[in-house]
Amino acid sequence: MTTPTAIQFDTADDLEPAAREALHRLLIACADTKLLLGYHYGEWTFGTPELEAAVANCSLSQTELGHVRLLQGILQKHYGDDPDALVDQRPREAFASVGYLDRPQADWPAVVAMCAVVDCALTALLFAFRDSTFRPLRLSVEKMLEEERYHLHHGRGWLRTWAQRDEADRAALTARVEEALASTALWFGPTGEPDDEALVAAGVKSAANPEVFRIACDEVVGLAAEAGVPLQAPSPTFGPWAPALRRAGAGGPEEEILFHLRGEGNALFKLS
Amino acid sequence: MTSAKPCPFCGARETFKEADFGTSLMVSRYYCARCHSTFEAIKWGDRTAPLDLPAFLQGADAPRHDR
Repeated sequence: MTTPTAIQFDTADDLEPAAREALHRLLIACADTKLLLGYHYGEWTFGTPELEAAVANCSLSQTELGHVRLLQGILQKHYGDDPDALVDQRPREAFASVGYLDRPQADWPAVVAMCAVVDCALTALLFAFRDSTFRPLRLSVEKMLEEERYHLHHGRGWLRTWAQRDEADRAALTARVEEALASTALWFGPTGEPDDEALVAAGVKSAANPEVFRIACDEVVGLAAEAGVPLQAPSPTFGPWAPALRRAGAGGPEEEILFHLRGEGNALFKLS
Repeated sequence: MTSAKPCPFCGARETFKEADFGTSLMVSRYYCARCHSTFEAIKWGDRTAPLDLPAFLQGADAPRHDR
């Protein structure tokens, strides 16, 4: 990753228009992904292999939702986005979260893969913001990284633990991790994508998205190999990739997930 | 494995981390082998507890303040 620059932008309006809009799209995508991560960790506050993992997932869920609030704060102040509307008023197809998170996490290896891959890759992206020229993000990222240290420690520990189990469990882990890697690679996008180039050129982040993903992917593949689980690194086909959605085709979180995220069952009691 | 956290009840150093996540987001849970107390310690900003981290985070210093 490149070294920091002395240039600093205190508001999004100080950025060149291309970088300003690219950052808007990327921040929404990060907030969407963290919202779904928070939901899925919360989904697994029961039914974990150990009680301590349930306590951990509860904390992981809370911290992800806290990060959503941080990112939404930037979106509100610098882009005029209404945080509630970002969650409540967009159709599922407009969400720019990692596709792996579109459905409920069916089993524990799926949750381990979510933490070890998706959370890890998103943290690598946050790390690329650490010396950002966009000061509001640079300030916010410190808290997120501090909390993510424990997320990744947790995910790596569980990956190592599950890799020591029987053949069927290891096969399930392999399948989930490879699925998460492929989905996350797609979210990070292709080389030379104009939004990405604009953000790197403006110093908003220190590395291009494919490079950030490669760093995270190498970590996961290396860790799994060390644990005796050889993995196939993804070779994504991007097709008509859209930077606002960060996916090649239709998708988005299942309606059932959005129903819970939006609190539609409690609509009468929601504070306006 | 013992930790660098002294027991807040008896002062012993024979303590170890039981869990990374405690009753609130900012703490980890520890156990004292001398007085058998469970206690919690703030983990944010702490670089004494060894963590299994990817290389890109291993060299990261404690949170930087306003820059």
